[in-house]
Amino acid sequence: MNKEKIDKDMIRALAELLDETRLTEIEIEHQGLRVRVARQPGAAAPVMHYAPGAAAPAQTAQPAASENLAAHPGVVTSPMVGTAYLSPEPGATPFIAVGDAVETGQTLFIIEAMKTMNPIAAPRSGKVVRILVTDGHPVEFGEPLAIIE
Amino acid sequence: MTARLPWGYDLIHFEEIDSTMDEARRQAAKGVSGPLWIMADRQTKGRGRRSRTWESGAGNLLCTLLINPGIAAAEAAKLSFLTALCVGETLDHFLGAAHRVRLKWPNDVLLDGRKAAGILLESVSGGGGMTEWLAIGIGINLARHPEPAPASPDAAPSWPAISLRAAGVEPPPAPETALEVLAARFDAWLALWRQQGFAPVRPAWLARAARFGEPIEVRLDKETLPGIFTALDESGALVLTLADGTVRMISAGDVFFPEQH
Repeated sequence: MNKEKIDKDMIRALAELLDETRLTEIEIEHQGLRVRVARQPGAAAPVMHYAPGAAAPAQTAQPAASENLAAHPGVVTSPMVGTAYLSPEPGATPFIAVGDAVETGQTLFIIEAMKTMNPIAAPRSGKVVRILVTDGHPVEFGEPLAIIE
Repeated sequence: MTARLPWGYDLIHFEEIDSTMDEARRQAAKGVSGPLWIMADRQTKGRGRRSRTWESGAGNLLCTLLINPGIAAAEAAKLSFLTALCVGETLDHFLGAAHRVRLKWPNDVLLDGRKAAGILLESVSGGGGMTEWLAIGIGINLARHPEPAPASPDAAPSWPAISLRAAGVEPPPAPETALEVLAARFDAWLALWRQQGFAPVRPAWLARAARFGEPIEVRLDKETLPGIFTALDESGALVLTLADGTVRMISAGDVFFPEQH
């Protein structure tokens, strides 16, 4: 099953249900894909967390951010589950730092999965205002990596 | 001699180059999308994962396959397993047996329990997470293998190495001959992949997996996890069950066996 093809209608229905019922969280499992729709205190929109596989525990202490970063227009997200690296090799200067100006296509991160290195390129030129991942830590599919404005 | 490859594949053969991965990157930047095999007799900057050096001596196969799979990055990562299978079957061919080669997650190829090959995949994704190109770098120890590095407390633990010659294949195949066998295996497995994706690759890989169902250790950047290698999930992640019953899905890390302390 292709987990990228997440059923948007299903998530939308869950989000509406969340609103209707005034619940703070709904989690369902469907065909090996687990979707949790949760309302963060003080946030207007529900935040989605994806977890690969039914048995995977939520292992990354990923941010109960009080803002919806995934919806930020300058967000760069991870195309896959993997490990994020901020530099081309251990000990080297990181690809980017907060405040840097970047050009479209410039490498921002490397995401490794199954020993496959995936350089993540800047989708647009701009200034790096936030870096949201830690070197060597796991990232989820769709997880915000950086904000470029 | 020039290697004879399956129909539809181009080949560039260098006597010496920085690395076939760097050449693949240059070819891709020129708009070449492959399928293209790049091989070199010698590399001056052979490298592995996270810029570890790869000893690139003469007589070994040093090559990269550049393809344009047009699939999402998460799908392309599973070609790691397909690559390991192709390399494993290439070794089988010259060994004349299949039982000596085992695969260690995700793409290490062990011959008699020693590392006989190195595999490195690099992708570039465009908009929408699609892979523009994928460079699959492969080194196979045919005639020689690196001696163990002198022990140093700072060094990352390394795996003992072996070559086909050291495993008793005398004389070892020429690199061009090994490439012909490898390219044929890739052609067959990629055809299956295009029809059925990861589905047939996963059981074939598991059938040759080292320590499946047994204790292993996974070294991550900042921790080491001992556990039982209980499954390979549909994304290719190693499913590790820890002593307290916690299940971890591993998508990056180095697998070691408990006796390697």
